[in-house]
Amino acid sequence: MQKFINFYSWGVNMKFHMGIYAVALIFFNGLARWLMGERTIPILALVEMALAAAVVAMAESWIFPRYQEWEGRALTRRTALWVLVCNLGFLGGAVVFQWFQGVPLWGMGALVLVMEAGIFAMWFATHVALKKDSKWLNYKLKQYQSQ
Amino acid sequence: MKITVEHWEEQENEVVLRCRELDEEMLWVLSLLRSGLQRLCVWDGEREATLLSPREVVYCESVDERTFVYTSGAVFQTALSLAELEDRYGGLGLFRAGKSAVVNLHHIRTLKSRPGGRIEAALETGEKLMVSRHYAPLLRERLGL
Repeated sequence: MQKFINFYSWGVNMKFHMGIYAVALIFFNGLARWLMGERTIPILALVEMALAAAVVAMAESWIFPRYQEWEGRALTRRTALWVLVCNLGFLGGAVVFQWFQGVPLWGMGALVLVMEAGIFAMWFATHVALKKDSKWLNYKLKQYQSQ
Repeated sequence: MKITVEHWEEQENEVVLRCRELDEEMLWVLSLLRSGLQRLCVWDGEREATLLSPREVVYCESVDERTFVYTSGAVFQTALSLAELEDRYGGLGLFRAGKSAVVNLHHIRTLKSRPGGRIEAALETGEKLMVSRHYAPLLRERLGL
């Protein structure tokens, strides 16, 4: 039972990240298509983007296991690996499945920049903002407990 | 259950419970009486009633309309609901962490901010409990954030 609960909670956490990635991919794909005069996204492309997001989220859960904290060099190494996986997953997916076919070169460059900014924002939220918030929460908890 | 109120001349009030066995109804009456003394009436799997200090409670959870009380080394059941537990012993650190859980803030080892506005609480017993998005702001408020 405990194994199932662990697997289930891993799934919930992983799908949360998968959802964020899939929504971002679909949003930018829709935006690019709309700017190029298209008004639809093929269902196959949606499935491909969801699958790419799932693969990246699964790899992410392996690089950053839920109950482990990483600091210093270990965090840097794992962050580099995670950035590589994200780039391979999203850029690789875009190239292999031709999600952004017809987008001019400058548009591709802009999309890559936005993606890198998004990856940085995700990293900042997960490894900087949440950690700072946790530190603050624990400081206040200790204060409460010592009252 | 038959209820009789007798008037007498003694200075101190007295409550006598007469029952064939200490069933759930009697345990519930006991817990009501004892809650005034800041003691939580609980019973274990052998139906042995114990008066627990709320400070000993690590967390409580509601499963199938039953309320289970977890201490560092044992599991008990109580007649009180999670809302009643929080109402009565909130001042002693009991905090509603979710629809089906109440946690004692004094038994939390660490808190971890999680995506989606949730907070993960690592308890002294080694267990982990998620404070839902709905209750996380209340926890922050309780801690003075």
